[in-house]
Amino acid sequence: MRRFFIKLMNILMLSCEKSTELMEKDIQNSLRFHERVQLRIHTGMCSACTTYQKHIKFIDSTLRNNKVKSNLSNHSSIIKSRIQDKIKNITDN
Amino acid sequence: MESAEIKNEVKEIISEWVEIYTDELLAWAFQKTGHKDLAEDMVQDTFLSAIRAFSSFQGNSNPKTWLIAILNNKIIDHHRKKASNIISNSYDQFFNEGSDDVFDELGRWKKEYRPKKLLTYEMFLDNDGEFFKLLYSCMKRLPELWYSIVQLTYLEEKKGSLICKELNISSSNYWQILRRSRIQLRACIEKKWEIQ
Repeated sequence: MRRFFIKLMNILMLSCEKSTELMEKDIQNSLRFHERVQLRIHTGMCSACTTYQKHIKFIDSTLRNNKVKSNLSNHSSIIKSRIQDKIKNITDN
Repeated sequence: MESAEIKNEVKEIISEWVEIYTDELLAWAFQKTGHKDLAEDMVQDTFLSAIRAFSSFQGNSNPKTWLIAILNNKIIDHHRKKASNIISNSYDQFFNEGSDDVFDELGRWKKEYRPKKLLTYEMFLDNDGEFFKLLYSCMKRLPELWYSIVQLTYLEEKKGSLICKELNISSSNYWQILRRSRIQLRACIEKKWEIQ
């Protein structure tokens, strides 16, 4: 009975460090069912990890969505003409 | 000569594309490499490759999509080489860099790393907003190996296990690098946000 109790506590009491590992697996969709339950129990008790989980989901979807933000257009005309020159100078053969 | 004529025709088309697409390709390459000069070289190479590979361009597909695909191959190649190089030369140093002072010996968040509720969903939704800028400026602070691995993960539409194989690292090290990168990125964004 006591051994069962210790085992149960080990399953329930995930450390924050371990739960960040499970969240990584979660992002890659490779979380197993019992891990999902463990993580739920932990985030249910731990507001820091709940916040962490929310934030890394923001980060993941921002990286996934691949929007382009233009921020170096001010001298692109120089680059354009440099490329144009290169193209002109390709020898035909 | 016919081939020279075709070539000139191709050169004219690509030349037009240079005017239309350079800005976007530059921004993309910069976002994916973090280096301005490198981004410029890659974009130039992309157009030159496009001339050589023009026969494989299907007229009905979108030029931008085609050019981005060429550019992506160059970016992926760059990160792969860079990561492989670091892995074969100074892997331990890079793997262990900046690592786990985040948790105490019981695996709890250390006080200074405890995530705070500063970053909100609204801030993240605002696409032109601070979150995006902060994320990319924090990306550049990652150790080089981590940076390349994060970029490869999101550029290559491949499973993690394949990326591990390509780079010759164990999957557990790969996951750890991704996890630590995320911890560091998140903490960096929060810190910068707090300062503002």
